[in-house]
Amino acid sequence: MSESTTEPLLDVRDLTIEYETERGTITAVSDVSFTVDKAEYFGLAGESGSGKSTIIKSIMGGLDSNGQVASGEIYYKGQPIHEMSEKELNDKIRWNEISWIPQSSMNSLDPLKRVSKQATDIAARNSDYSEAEALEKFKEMFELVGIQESRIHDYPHQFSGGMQQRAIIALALFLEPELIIADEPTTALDVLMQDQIFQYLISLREESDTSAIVVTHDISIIFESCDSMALMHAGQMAEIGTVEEVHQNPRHPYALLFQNAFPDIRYPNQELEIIEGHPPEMLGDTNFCSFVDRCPWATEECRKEAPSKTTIKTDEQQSHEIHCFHGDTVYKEYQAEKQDTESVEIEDSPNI
Amino acid sequence: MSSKSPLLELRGLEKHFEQRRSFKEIALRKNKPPVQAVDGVSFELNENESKAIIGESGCGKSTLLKTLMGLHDYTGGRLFYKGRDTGGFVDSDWKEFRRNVQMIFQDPFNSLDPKKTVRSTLKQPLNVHKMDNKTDRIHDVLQEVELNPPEKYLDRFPGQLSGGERQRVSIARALVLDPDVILADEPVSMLDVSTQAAILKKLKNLIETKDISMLYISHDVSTVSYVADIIKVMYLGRIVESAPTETLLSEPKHPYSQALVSSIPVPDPTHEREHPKVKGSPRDPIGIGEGCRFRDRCPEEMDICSKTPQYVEAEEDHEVACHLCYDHESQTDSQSETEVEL
Repeated sequence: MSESTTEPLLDVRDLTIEYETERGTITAVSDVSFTVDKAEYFGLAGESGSGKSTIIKSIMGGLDSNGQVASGEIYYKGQPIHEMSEKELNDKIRWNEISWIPQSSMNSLDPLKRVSKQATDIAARNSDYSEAEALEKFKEMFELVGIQESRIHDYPHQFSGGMQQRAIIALALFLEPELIIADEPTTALDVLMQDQIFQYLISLREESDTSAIVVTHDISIIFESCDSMALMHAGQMAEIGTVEEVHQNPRHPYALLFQNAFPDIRYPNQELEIIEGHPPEMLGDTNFCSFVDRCPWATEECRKEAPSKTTIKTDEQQSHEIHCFHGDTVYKEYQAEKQDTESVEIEDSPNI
Repeated sequence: MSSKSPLLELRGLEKHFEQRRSFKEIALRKNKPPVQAVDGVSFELNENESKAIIGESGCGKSTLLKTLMGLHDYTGGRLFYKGRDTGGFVDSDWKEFRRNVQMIFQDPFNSLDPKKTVRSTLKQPLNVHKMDNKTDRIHDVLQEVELNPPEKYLDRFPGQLSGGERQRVSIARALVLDPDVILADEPVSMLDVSTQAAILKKLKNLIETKDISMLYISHDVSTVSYVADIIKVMYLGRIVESAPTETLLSEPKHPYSQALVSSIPVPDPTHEREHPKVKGSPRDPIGIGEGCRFRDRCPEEMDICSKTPQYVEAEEDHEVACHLCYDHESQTDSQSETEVEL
């Protein structure tokens, strides 16, 4: 094996991020580790407030001014990017190496510059393309995201919200970055456009070995587009593994309930799971499982300590990791309970 | 008479917006074509029925809902409430109408007054409509939407509630007047998944237990199926297909419905979904003219599509407006008949 296959493209190690607020220190991300390999698509899932966007901001070097990496490291191609200055990030990393598709398009485009100018500025700084070449590339991307290429010279306010979002996707992708970070890239878009954009993102992995981190609350998108994933709850990792493992063998209670809360269009009558309560605000001491107050299987143990990483071996080849003390019992009980209700339903139904 | 007529009946309802003209255009008497946001929509909403309208942004579904609510005046067609033409309504009729037809908005963060407590939010409609037993009604309705115990929530401000709790207050505000019809504008799209399921269940439960009919609009086909018995698909101001929920999800007939349904991601990594062939986005609904409005994006486009397709019953309870779905020769007579009728 060559060296490049052993070293991951992005390596996030034991990352903890804190925000200083008037009420004290909030731990937005606790002790999170994951890696993204070349040509790997990695999904970060979770509800709002789970810390997924904070992780992304720290990778891009764009944490809010009251936030800081309290401990842990982030390596990109072996370089410690968490230590880089703003200038180094701009010169070496942003746009051409790691490119970011942010969630809200409204604040992401410069309102005083034509979109084409924004593209050529980025290209001038981060690539060897001439202005004409850059414009040509950018036009192709515009076509792809479904905006007429004649409109590249428009100002952002001339676009609708959905078009602004697509213009940003075009900006993020036209320099062919190695790692794309997509933070809820399609929530503002219609389903048909969402499908088209994800089809394109997926094709990039096959054509040019691009890697991506896909951040979304919609687990269906991750299941369809990613190779591996992590599910987070209030700053802590719940379950991490290949999408097949997380889908077929979930062990963390949150992973079990979360994926069954999603409507599946193939089974419109399927009962949806409800997760009671909402994620806690991680103020002060956070050495406990952040899911404890919402978890039907929680015990005293879960309040005393945050569960560390446990490896789950599902068969000879397959394994993945969870952060839960009770993974195996939870899984067995949940399956048994489900089977019970199913058999009751069958008995109730008079036709069978 | 009123017991048999549908609660709401739309006959060719239209809402066109005039485009703003510049000074020069006004001086030169130049007219701009109107925006045909809602362009001839007909259907009925009966008692205890829940129907959904789905479509992409800009298809006119929100305008339709606002027009039904009386927030826009319709520019054509007719709207009947319990068999009475709303065109002849006087102020007192509208007041009665608005007590019985309530709306739940999309965004629970902006649709509640931040300076009002839950109690005063719920009390205001009761004051307007001079209803009695206010305290009891507020108490009951909070229990109905599962904000328990009600005392805990009465004096809270929206800022002190989570998104799901706020949306429950919005539902309570709609229910407190004991309406016949609820118009719901994507009520779960801004909520987290864990809360979304709870709100969907609540809405379904209300329809089943409380003699309420619901018209639910959304762009999200997958959540709609939990609430609606019948789904209608809207494209550029017109309904293009209507069928019972399960039929529409499993056997959509209109190429646009097929694309919409197949574009929904499936929460299963082992499932190979067939992706829609439809590209791009809808045109602006301005000066659209004759013909099928989907033809510029349709993978099945034919010559005949430059003629407007009729809205026909392709199967029982399954209506569709597409040239692929009917035999043109046998339909020509009935078309002229309907035109005469109009």
